[in-house]
Amino acid sequence: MPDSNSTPLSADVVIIGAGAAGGAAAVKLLRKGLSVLMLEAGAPLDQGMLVSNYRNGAYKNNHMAPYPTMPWAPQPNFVPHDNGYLIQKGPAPYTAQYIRGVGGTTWHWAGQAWRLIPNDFRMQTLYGQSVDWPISYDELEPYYCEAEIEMGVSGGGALAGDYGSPRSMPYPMDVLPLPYGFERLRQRYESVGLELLPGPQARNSTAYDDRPACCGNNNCMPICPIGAQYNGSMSVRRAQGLGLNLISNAVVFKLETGEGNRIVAAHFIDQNKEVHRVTGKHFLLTANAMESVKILLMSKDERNPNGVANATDQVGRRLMDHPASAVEYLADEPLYIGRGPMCPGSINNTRDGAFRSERSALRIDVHNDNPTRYLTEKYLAQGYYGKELNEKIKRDGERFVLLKSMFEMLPDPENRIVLSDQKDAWGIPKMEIHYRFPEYVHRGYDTCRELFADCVKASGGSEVKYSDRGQYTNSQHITGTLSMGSDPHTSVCNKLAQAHDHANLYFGGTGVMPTAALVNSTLTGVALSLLAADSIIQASL
Amino acid sequence: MLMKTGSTKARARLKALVWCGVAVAVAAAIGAGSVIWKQAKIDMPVAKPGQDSAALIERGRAVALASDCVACHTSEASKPYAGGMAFDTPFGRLYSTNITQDPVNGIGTFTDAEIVGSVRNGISQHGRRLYPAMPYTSYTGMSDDDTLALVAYLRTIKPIDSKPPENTMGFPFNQRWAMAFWNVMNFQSGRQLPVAGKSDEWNRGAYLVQSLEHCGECHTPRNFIQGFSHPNLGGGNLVTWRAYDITSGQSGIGTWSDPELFTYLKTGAVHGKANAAGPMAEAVENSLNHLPDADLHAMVAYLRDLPVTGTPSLVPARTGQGQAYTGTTALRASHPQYDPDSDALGAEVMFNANCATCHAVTGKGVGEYPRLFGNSVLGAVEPTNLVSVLLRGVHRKVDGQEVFMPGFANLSDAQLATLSTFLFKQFGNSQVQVTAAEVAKLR
Repeated sequence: MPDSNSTPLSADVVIIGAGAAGGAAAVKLLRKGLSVLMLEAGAPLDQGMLVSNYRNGAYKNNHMAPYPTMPWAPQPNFVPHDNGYLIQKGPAPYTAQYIRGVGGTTWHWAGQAWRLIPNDFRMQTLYGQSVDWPISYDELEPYYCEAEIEMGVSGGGALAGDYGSPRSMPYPMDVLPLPYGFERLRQRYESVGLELLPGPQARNSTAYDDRPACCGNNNCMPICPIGAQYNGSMSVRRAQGLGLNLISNAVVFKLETGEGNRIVAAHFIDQNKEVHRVTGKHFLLTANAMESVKILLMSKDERNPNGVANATDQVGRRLMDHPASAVEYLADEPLYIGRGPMCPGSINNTRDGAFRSERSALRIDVHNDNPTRYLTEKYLAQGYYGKELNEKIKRDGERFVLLKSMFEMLPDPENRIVLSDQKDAWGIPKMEIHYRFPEYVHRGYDTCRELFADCVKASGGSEVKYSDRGQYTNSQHITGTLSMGSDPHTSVCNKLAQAHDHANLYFGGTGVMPTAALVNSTLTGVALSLLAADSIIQASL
Repeated sequence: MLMKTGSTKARARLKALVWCGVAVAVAAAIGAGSVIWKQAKIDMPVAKPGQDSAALIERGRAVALASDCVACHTSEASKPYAGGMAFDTPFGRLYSTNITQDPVNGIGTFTDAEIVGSVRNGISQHGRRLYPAMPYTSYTGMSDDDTLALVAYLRTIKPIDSKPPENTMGFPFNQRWAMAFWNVMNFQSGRQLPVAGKSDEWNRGAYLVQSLEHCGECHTPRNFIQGFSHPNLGGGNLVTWRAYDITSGQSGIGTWSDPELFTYLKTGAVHGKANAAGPMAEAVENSLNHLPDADLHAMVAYLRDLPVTGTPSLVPARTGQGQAYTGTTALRASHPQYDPDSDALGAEVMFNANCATCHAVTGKGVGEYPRLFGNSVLGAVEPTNLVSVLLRGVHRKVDGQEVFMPGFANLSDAQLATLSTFLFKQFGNSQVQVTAAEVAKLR
């Protein structure tokens, strides 16, 4: 809790949300000499504590289990059962997962740090689907470079090149090598024209940023135990070294507007339910694509009866993710999946083509989670025991393959977040989610199913299990709710990541993405946050 | 006496400048003017006629490598030999000099004799006295041929126009002339000559250990005014690091085989035994790793032959102590809580959360990650190096292979004291108790 006598509750820039997007922006702003105050709803998180919670905890398969939930900052959790924080209005579920705490959700991710490809920015022009971005790939490219340096991204190399995303700078680190099983699958998938490449990862392949190289613990999720994988707390800590004033356990519930509809203050409630007011010249909202929406929708006043930045009722609409389908099977040779990081490679040559006018493109991740626990539970449930169980786990564990394909959602204004009448323990409204899948995604699934079958065949697969059409899981790439665009009637902010309605309010993170494209969204979210920081710097000159 | 430095960049910086202060007082009582004058003389070697200059430069490059000039005279990797590395002392801050051929900021206008004087006598251009952070106390043994080769090589270092910051030594420590008095007490100028009756290999090793590699600057204990004391290479303190005894006793290298010693000098690591960190990692990285194998074998032969220090039976061997940890299962059953803000955080909880991922839950190490039990740092009688490694981590790059351990300075003094005491008890010298105050001093 801030002591208002000693902590100045004012700064040049107030950043709301202490994740990767907020942290990277804070570093950039502080280096330019601006003062920054950061508000975070959740508590500080400590790597040692999280590793301890994970190692000593019972729910090894629940990525949220090690992360303590503060009553003032509830977070979605679905294991062992839905905790009811997100209210599903359907027709499809949107089981989002995110962490509220210093460092944010990058504490548990697989570190995939893809850039979009240039055509992703021109979907409407090229394919008559979705929308165009108000900026081009080339305009975002410098911010991608900055984000990669800040996060420490390894990638590229002789095999992978630039993955179709042209670069003005080399990757900060060499690509991590593919594990043995991935190398075998790469060779075998070649026969069906699928290119399995070692991916770009925010994971050290050498000591970088005073953090060690990955040594393959294979639990990037829920927690990298050695800090080889980037998380937002690393940027926040760097920013603190540059003078950041961080206040955690500070739940922002209102942005106050003033003359010219400028934002003049953020109001937050602390863990003792005391209310504080923070003023600033500029405000940057990086509180995740869902929680940011909640803050805006709650901030109703006479000038902004629909909430801040919401004159045209666009806030919270166009909610997206990457719906995912899966296939699991046993290959005809031992692959020893489960060595190295959890997502070291994926099939990348299915991301673009004329077909995007008809169906979703796809990108297939080969999962590298150690399958032992999954198979053990499965075979126990099937009645195996004793020696036979051990042998089956050993044999199948060596051969197990899990592929997951992502699909590109379309920005549907009816897919949206609205405030619920239900409140959390601190009296703040919960969120209701309306979500549905377009035919575009289902048609992507149909193609994906064929490609999955090719993969299975190419590696002599047996005991194949496909996920069903229409049954997609969330990839936790929450996008679209604060869309960037040139038309205020279809977007929330402009190409500077500045709110259409408020000259000194900016957005960062994945919510700003007007399309979800086909890749994990964090790197793009951080790049957009750095773009927003640049807009603030320009406005401060 | 020495102050901590934030980084672990170089060896010599850790030698503090108590020398001059104490020496001023002592020397006043001595009035040894003639001796000082004698010491101020520079023995300029005479170049042999008809030398192949390319070969001379190449030899000089090897001398510079073996003398590890680059470690202290470089603060930015992109500006080798341009100086600027900080040496913190209780009396202010020193910066290493620019020894590129830059005429203004470097040594471009030095005569050969002035370079020789700087290296072997601690007397720089125009008779200016060097502080013995520059190890002329060891380099004085450098042979004439090597010294001339070194000068020839230094003449080829391209000028870098970079001015190291001004020293911030207060009075009287900014009075460089006072170093003359310190030298009277602590410095004997003169070449290191071969010892009759010893093999060529032994003599080569002795020359490398005592003169070029200047091992004694860290590994030989110092007297109260920071001059060399006894026993030779019997172990020295650098405040944030302990330079261990490297004679053949139990507390030294008595339990090491010759191949192990060779491997350690070459790579900085002997699995299960020792792993170079801090200044020693830099010595391996910048210098020892680049020596010809024959030179390393020679150093081993010489070290092996040094008189044993101490009373062997009274000193436990630094290697081979402690045992594997088996408490993880019981710990998990106890539902441990990890409160990062609590000074009462349990040692085993911290070990499992912060150490076991790389060093294994038993402490037996995994692949390149060192085994903890039996390790020489954990078998030491002083906690200095363990605590320093926990605070600062390990950085060592040898043959393109990087060895890195992050520091755990995020843990509090009390937490690190608890953890260190547990590590000693479980994996090494169980007598060592570490206090929060000791951690604070090393932080």
